[in-house]
Amino acid sequence: MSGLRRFSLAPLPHTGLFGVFLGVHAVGDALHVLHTGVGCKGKTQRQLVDHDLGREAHPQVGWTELAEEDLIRDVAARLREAVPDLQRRRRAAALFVTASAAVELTSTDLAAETARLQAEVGVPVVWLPGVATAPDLYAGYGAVVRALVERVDWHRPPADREATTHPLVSLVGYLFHRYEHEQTANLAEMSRLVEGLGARLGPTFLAGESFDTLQRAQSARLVVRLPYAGVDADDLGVLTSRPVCAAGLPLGLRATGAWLRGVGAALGVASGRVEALVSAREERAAPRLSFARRCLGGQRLAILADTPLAAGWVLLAQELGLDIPLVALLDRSLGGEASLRAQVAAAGGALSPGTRVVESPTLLELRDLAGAPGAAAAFDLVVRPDLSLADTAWADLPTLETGFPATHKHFVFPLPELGYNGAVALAQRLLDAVGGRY
Amino acid sequence: MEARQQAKLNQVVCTLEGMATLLQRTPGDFAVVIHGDPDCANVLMHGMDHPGAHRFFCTHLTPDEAVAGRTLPVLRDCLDALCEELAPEVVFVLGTCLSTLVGDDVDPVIRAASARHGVRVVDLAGAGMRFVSQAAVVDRFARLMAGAAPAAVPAPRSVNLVGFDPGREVRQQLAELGVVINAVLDPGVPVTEWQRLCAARWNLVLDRVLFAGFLSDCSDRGIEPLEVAYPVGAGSTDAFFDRVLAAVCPGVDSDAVLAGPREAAHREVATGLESTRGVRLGYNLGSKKDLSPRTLAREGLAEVSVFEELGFEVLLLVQGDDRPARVAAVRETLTALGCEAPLAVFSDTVFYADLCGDQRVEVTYASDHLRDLVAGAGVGLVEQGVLRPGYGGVAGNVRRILAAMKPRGGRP
Repeated sequence: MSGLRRFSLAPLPHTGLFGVFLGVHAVGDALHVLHTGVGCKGKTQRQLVDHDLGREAHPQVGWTELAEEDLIRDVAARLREAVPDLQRRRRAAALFVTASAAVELTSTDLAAETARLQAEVGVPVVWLPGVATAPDLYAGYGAVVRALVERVDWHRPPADREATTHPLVSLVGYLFHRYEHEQTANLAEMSRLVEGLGARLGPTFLAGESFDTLQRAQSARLVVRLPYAGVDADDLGVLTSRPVCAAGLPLGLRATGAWLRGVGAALGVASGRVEALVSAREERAAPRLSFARRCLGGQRLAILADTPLAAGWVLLAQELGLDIPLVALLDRSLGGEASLRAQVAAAGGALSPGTRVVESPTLLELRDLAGAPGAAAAFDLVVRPDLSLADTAWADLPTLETGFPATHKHFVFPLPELGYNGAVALAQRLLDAVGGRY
Repeated sequence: MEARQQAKLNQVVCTLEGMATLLQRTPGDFAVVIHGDPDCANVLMHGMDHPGAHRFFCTHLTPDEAVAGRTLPVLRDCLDALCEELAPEVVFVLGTCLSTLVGDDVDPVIRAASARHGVRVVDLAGAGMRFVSQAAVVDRFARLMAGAAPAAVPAPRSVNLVGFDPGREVRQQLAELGVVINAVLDPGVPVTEWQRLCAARWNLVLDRVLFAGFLSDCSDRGIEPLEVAYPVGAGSTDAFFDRVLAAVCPGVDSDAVLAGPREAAHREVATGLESTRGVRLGYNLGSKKDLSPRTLAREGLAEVSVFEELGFEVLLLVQGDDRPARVAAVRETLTALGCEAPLAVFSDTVFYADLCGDQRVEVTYASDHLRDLVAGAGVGLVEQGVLRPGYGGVAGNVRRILAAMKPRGGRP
């Protein structure tokens, strides 16, 4: 390994601090309080502003703007001043407090401080320790999800009528990264899948819903753990006192079928009914994918994504007849290659021997993976978020921009990525990328 | 300058955030080391539209290294790896809150690395939990870039445009009038452009105070400062050319080049006045953090003349501390800058829409992140930074302003 690798930035270098902000932004009425120096403001809202055109992020962050003298005198003093003042102005339903690595190094008991502040302001004030040193944004997002799940009163059993006639299903660990219409469409698709199984979709952690709405997850009979939950299925079962179904992302036909079978079994739906549902939905979608396959088959696709999203893309790409020479996993906390293979296998697929998987490449490594600018391209198209790849061969490739951040792709039309309609919509986007005409 | 500092009319940054942002925008053969925890690398912006992140490195300090006093060896290893594997012309080292907290003395490490590898390594000291104004960062950055510029013999009638680019039309008109534009020195231009600095006779700036240190350094090297109006709108463009030509090309007859565009621009203003005269406009100050000298010049007032000449009833809506001492400092500062428009202060962006309502504002010239808030209040928004410079920009600017007034059903 190059000595410089240790010091190189990652393509998505965000830590949990930004992930917490992303999570807080995905709760309609929460507030992120940064107990940090002034520079940390730029690590939150500014990172999201070009990605989410659906909703301004700045009203959901406040800060204490610690100065050096605050560190010397009393690290918590500014927090004690700022939180009541922020709450007076912002009137949030819940506040999530994080600190920079330097502040946490002072070992001030910020848990006790936030507990006192909660009593003072009268709404939950949640202290999330260690996020600035957490490995990536997904770890921070998961910390918010977990904290929110912990605040639901799961001890009350679901109401009988709801539990038996049309049971409520709550999703935990959906990555809601902006208030744009592909997110609306994804949630509608998952709701359609759940309804196909005779159930109803309840509160989703997270989906832009309010803090109070999330409390209604208590009525859920089943919890479906999605990959960005920040808590494993066993722990989630303990936290919620509910059966938990661990599921991947329903991206592509096989993954969506596997999702329906898993959730259906957990709900106790007869397997024949589930298979009939899967067949009916696939019958509509499969011919369209076959159509796309005529244009896409044999083309070389590079996938640059976090592990769960990459797994979904591998499955869909195979269904479209694409070759996948490269999968670069951009996260540092979601399981890496082993998890990728497991998630693909769980949907009945397998990585082809010709697929190279690169875990957590540095930005410099990733820039080199596409080859030198102007040289023969190693790939025909790429699926990736917006990364710092200007002046590289990546910039010349037909590109489907997805995930976080996606600053060049915005949705005013509810075009899904998940479910059966999502598979068809993504095939359309790939065709558009290859054709270069929109 | 002291009153301007107390007024805090531009948002503060930390040195790390400010310098990293400006260095990221600047193409050149250099690398930057952020000496701190991994999170500090996230002051950078990422994506295709933000090139330059690949020239940044981080010592990725862990809490254990900080507690055990093992941070400087990590910096040494980082500099060694960087100099051996990439060998850029210069390496800049930026400290962080963490390195400040543990009291790292980076100088000996930097000097030793520089000696070992023959690479210039520069400590950009001052990071940590200390607020600095964006203006101070911009001035410091300009001094840093200027420091490496070699001496040169200035060409006659040659100018640098420092901190602003007046656009192709104005640049062309200047050239036709005999003014030689030696360099446009706006953050974001390559290091090679900054190295041309000394081949000019004048530095044209929108605000001498904004570039106080830089201009002082340049004066020592024989480059004279010349403060000019930002050439946006008809009147300010007149003022810009009058000032530049009087200093650089005295006696030149400008009518052949400027008379036609000037008259057309003034006609556009006269036409616009029919719809805009007396309309109450909220001119937002202090909400934008973009480290742009054009935004920062004259504490944000560089474009207020556009609205004044269109007859708007301008009200300054100032973000920040609303306590009396600060409000008084703001008033004093704005008056000293020649602006007597009334002002109102809001302490938090979430209050902006209410303030617009309370002040009966019909349209606002404000930072784009306030768009959702003002839209909800039925107030039109002209986004800060969209006004085009030069006489040729006037017609488009008037159209844009009128379009922003339409949603309210106001005078079209």
